[in-house]
Amino acid sequence: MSNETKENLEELIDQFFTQQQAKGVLKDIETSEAILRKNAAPAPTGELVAEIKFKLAEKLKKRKEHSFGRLIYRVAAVAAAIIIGVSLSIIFFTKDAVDKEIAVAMIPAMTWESENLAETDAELVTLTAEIEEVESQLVALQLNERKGNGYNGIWELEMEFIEIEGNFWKG
Amino acid sequence: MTKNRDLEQIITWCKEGKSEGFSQLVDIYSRRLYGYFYRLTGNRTSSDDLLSELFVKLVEKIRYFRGGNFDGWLFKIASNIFHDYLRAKQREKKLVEGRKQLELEHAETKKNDDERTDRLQVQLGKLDADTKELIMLRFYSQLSFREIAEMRSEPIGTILSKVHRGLKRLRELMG
Repeated sequence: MSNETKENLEELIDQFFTQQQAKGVLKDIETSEAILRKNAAPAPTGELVAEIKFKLAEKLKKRKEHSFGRLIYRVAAVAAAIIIGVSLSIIFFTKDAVDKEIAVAMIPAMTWESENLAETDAELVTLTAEIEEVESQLVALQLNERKGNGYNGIWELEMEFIEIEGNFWKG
Repeated sequence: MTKNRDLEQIITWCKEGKSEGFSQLVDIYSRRLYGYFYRLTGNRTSSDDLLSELFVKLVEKIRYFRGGNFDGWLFKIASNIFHDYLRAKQREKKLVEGRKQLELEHAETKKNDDERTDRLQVQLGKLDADTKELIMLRFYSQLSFREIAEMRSEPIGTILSKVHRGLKRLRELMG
């Protein structure tokens, strides 16, 4: 036992025993520990120590290999996720671009880029005006502003729609 | 101080998985731990197994060591391993009991051969198991009574009293 531990032991014994008892307790402990030192337990054999060291080295080696294997799996998983992500992005972005191109192709580029539609496409202006007219008539009908039979009013409106549609598709 | 710093360095190597660190721990502690196991089991074969088991477990457990008293921490693991061994032995005994009583007696006789050659071991066998373990823990771990009390979650006065009574009895037995 180190001197430091021995000093602590004296202090400790003083806390739990009377001064007279303390001396006896300390003597008991010291004498008995001397007996233990005198009758030392056998030491591990050199073979055992060598075997333990070998086992530990093997275990550490396996653990390192295992860790490396796990790292490879992780990297592979991350790489796979990135590849899938990039592939999906390419597919979706390419599809969007094609859709946009189709939409643009249906409308003449000149109309699409024009700032004054009246100049570019007179028919479109006429059509817009007629639609606005029909809208106002429809609102008037709904509010019963016109006199006479409401049914006839709707019928006239439908006819007007058919005529506009016909004119439009004729060009 | 230097010794503690060296030990800290060795523990760091062990945590980094360096075989050299563990090899040094084996050199430093195997003798004390072996003595602890031998005095508790009275059997070299069991002590060999327990010592191997402890160091193998240490490879996994070393990362959980968060500083402080390494000896206390190590002997706590040793104590747990010894208790597991005791439990396994009791289970084994129960299985054998009643069926092969004669075989068991023969095995016991063979197992205690080591004890017969060591007078101290025989006298230690006359102490109750808990006191015997406490004395061995105190002697081989070289921990203070305070540290042993903390490790076992028992009042320091109780530990001191148990060890004192046990050692006094052992002194009388060794005459």
